[in-house]
Amino acid sequence: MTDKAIVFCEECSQKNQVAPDQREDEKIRFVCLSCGFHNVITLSDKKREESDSVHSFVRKLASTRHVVGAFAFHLKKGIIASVMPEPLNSSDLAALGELLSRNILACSAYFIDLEQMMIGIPQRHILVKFIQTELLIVCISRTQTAMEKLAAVIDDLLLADPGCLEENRP
Amino acid sequence: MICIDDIVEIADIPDVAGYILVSPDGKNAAHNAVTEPEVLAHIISACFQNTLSFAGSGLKFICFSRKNNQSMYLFPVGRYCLGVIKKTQAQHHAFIKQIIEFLNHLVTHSDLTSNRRNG
Repeated sequence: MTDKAIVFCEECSQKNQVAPDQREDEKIRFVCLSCGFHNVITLSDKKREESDSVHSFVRKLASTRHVVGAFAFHLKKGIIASVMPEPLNSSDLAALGELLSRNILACSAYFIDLEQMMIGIPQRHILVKFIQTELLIVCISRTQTAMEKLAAVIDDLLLADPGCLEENRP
Repeated sequence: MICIDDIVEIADIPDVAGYILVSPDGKNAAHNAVTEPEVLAHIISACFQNTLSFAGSGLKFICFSRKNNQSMYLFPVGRYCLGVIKKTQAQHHAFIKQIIEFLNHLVTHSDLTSNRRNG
């Protein structure tokens, strides 16, 4: 286990690793390896940072080709990050997250090795996947192929850094 | 009009490992090679109704992917829901296409007749 912390660039949202010696008092300073932006994050902003890690994750998924939007739904906290088109407001998303979570939880009781749920409707495909015990990601894409690629993108992101959302565990 | 005896022919499709037909009231109308069909019928019915509440009549399929690749797919058949288990080696796209083609071939009316036949 490394002591390096995972932080996200405030400019481009790329993930960076920060060594302990890059921490000064209550601040973390780092230059983004992707865009070169000089970041200064105060540790007192920890709450905001926790939320940002999920937001960054969702933003990355939502920026994938043919993806219409994505959101993160927590079983206890509701919607905690969202990049979705305008017509859907937060209460719509919360209701959708609730329904989708009920579906996947019900089926998990029968298939213990359930990985994800995909729904096909005209012009849209929905991917629903638990990424933590009580946190699920919902992505909406224009094509079925894009939806299947998204499942791999999520797995790759989590595999590359299994602790990237660690601080959001309830 | 199609009947349940037509639907059960889905078991003849080589990539199908099992199936269950669930009635609008959540009962097992027909099945083959699924364990605890009554329990599964109840789960399928709940998931199907939940999804219909936001997808409406446009729903094409629901897929529950499993690590062992024996994924379960749900398809609307009139007011019924057909759950189909895919064989491990079958491909996702091709499987969906096969089942939809099979259903399109059968479905001419939205209601099923009630000739019950369990596998």
